Amino acid sequence: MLYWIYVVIAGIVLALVFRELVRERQWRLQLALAIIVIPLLLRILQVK
Amino acid sequence: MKTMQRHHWTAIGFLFGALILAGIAARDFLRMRTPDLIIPSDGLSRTGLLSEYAPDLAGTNGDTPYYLYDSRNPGPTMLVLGGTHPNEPAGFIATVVMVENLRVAQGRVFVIPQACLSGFSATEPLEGYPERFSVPTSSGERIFRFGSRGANPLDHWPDPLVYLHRPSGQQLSGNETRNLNRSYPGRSDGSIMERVANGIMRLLETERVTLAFDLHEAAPEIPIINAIVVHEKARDLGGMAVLNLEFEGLQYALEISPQNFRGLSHREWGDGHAVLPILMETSNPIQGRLRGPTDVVLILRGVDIRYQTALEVGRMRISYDAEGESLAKRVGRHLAGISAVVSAYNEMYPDSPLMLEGLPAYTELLSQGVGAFLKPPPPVQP
Repeated sequence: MLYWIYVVIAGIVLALVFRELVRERQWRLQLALAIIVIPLLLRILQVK
Repeated sequence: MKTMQRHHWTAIGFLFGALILAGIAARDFLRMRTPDLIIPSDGLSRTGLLSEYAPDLAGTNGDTPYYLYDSRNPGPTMLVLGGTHPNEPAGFIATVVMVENLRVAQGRVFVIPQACLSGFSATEPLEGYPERFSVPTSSGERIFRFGSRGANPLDHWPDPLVYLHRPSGQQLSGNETRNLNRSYPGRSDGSIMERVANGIMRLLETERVTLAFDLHEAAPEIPIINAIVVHEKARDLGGMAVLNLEFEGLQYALEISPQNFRGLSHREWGDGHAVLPILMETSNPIQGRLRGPTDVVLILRGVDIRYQTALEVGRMRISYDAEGESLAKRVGRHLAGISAVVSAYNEMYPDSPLMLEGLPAYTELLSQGVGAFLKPPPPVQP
């Protein structure tokens, strides 16, 4: 059960990161946000 | 309707790039789930899954295969575990060599090459370990996975802050929750490693196992390397085995399993069942803190100049062989240790011996390499 709670939390964090990525105007910060997407996505998809 | 601004396009571009990188990484991570090829010898009686003894394991990444060699002549039953820690390849490869060469003339032998099967599907974060290594054989290379010390976090996430061992109540660091060799005797409804531990305990009980081995490796700076750790009831057996090994020119330290350190195979197997438990360690530089480049060569040759330097300046409390600790040498030590313990057992119980055939000797492994005792991979279909 705790496992799936953490997956949901990761999903919420991914959604927030995605929202910031779209709103952010500085490309350097956008790049940093895009990099953060990778591990979150891999964990939510149960790949890593 | 809002029009797309410049930063929206850059966001889409970076996101697209991130998805490509995630895809490349995912392909590598998913490849680590491909099972390792193990080609049993003609002496194999049958193979099965650990879930036959612990049905709760069925369908999980802890449900590991076992290989049974049954002579059908009455005698003792032996269990050999490799891959309890998948980042200790000599234990895993020693059991693969057993599976591919063993014949049993009297008694029975169970072999589990990948006790922590889940751990073979991921490497340890921040260690820079290779994901796999290859061993050359007479025709082609055999490729094996190099995993992590514990189970894949996907099979148990998150780790608790403190791991509470049951039933003792002993407290350890939270990541030890994923360590099979802290999880015995295990529980049928516990974490994935507790379930695997429970399955192995059920196998020991159901099959009335007499002798059980757990094959490990450790960093060269850890004093327990080149040691045989036994439960106190196997003290005489271990002592005789160490003497037998001395005659072969192999030095081992005999360690007695500490009674107050719970969850380990050599403690819980012996406390829970009539089995005589033995754990063996070899010296593996790729696990060491002094190591340099962490690559396949270090797994296979075990040569690291930093350990030699540490030895020369008197910073090593134990010996380090300048020629390195090759995989062949480490596998050879494990197999020599098993043979020595079995010989000692047969001396102690001559009425019911365990007779093994086909295992390569230490000197053969040193001179011919591990690949000489692995079956060649099947040809790739065009």
